Amino acid sequence: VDATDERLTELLAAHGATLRRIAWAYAGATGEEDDLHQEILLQLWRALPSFRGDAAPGTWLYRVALNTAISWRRSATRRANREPVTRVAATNTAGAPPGRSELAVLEEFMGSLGPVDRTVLILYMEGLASAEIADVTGLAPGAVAVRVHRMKQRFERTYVEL
Amino acid sequence: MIDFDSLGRAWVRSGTAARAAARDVPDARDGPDVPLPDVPGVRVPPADRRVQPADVRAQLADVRARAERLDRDVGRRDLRESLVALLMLPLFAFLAVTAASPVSALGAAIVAVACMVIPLRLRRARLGPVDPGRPVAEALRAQLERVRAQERLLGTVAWWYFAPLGTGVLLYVLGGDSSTSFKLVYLVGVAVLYGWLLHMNRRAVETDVRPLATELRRWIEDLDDPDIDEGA
Repeated sequence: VDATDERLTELLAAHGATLRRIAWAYAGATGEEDDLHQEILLQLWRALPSFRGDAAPGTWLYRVALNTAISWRRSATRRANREPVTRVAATNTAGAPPGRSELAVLEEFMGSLGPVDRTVLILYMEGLASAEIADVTGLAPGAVAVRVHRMKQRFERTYVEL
Repeated sequence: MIDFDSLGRAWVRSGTAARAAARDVPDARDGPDVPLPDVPGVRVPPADRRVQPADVRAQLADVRARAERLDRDVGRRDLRESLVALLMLPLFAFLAVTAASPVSALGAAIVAVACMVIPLRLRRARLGPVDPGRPVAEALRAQLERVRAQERLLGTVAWWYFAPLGTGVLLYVLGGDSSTSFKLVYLVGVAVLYGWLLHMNRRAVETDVRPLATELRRWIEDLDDPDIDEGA
C-alpha cells in the first residue's frame, strides 16, 4: 500500500459517509449517485499526491468533492438535453403535508435552491462553521452567514408558517 | 412538524438511503429501519461522516481499477494520434521530394509540416483538469478561463487545422497528372468534407462550449453577489 492509498484510507475513514451524501445531493434525478461517488473518489485519489497541506485535509476533501460534483452535474445537465437536473421539481408546493418524510422535504428544498446556496447548505448541514464553509467555497464568511440565514427564513416561510 | 433543524436528520439519512439504493438490497447496518442518531440541530455529528474500514478498502480497489482503465484509454488515444502523425509525416515528405510538379511538391510539403504542427497544437490545447483542491469559486473561475481558451481554439480551427491540410492536399492533387474532371471532383469533394467538418465544429461550440461558459458565468455571478435572487 503506497502513501497515497494510506492517506486516502484515513480521509475516507473520517469522511466517507459525507462523500456519499454529497453524491446523493448532486446526482439529482439522474439516479447516478454511485457513478458520481466513484468519480469523487477517483478525483481524490488523483489529486492527493499534489496536496501540500495548505488547507486542512477535511477542507481539501470537501473542495475536491464539491468541485467534482459541480462539474459532474453540469455534464449531466448537458447530457439531459440541457434541462436542469433536480431530484425533484423545483416548483415548490404549499408547505409540507402531514406525514411527509423529512427526506422528501429536504429533496424538495434542495431542488428549489440555487447552485451556490445548495453547496452552502450541504456544508452547513455537515457541521462546518462559517469560516470553514468560506474556506471551502471561496465566499466571505459574512456572505456564508447571510446565505444560511436567508435559507432558513425561506424554509420557514415555505414549510413551517402554515 | 418539520422545521429547518430537521433537515439535518434527513441529511444524515440521505447517505444511508443512497447506499441502500446503490446496493439495491436491504442492509442491516445502513437500512432505513436503523434508528437515526440524535442530531440536536441541523448539523451532522462527526461520527456520521465515517465509514467502516472494509468499505474503504473496497472503494480504494475500485478507484485504482478505474484510474488504470482511464489511463490506459488516454494512453491508447495519444498513441493513435502519434502513430498517424508519424506515418503521415514521412509519407508526405517523400511525396514532396518525388512530386511530379513544384505545385504538388509544395502541397505535400505543407501537409508534412501540418502533420508536425497540428498534433503539437492539440497537445498544448489539451490542458489537464483544473486542480480540484482549490476553493469552489477559484476552481470555477479557472474552469471558465479554460472554456474560453477552448472556445478561442475551436473558433480558429479553420486556420490552424483545415486550411493547411486542405490547401496542401488540394495543391498536391492540382499539380499532379490526373485529368481535369478528376481534379474538379476532388476539389468539390474536399470542399464539401471540410465545410461539413467546419459546420460540426461550430455546432459543438454553440451547443457545448458556449452553454458551459454561460453556466460557469452564472455560478460566478451567484458567488459574487449574495443578494442575487437564487430561486429556481
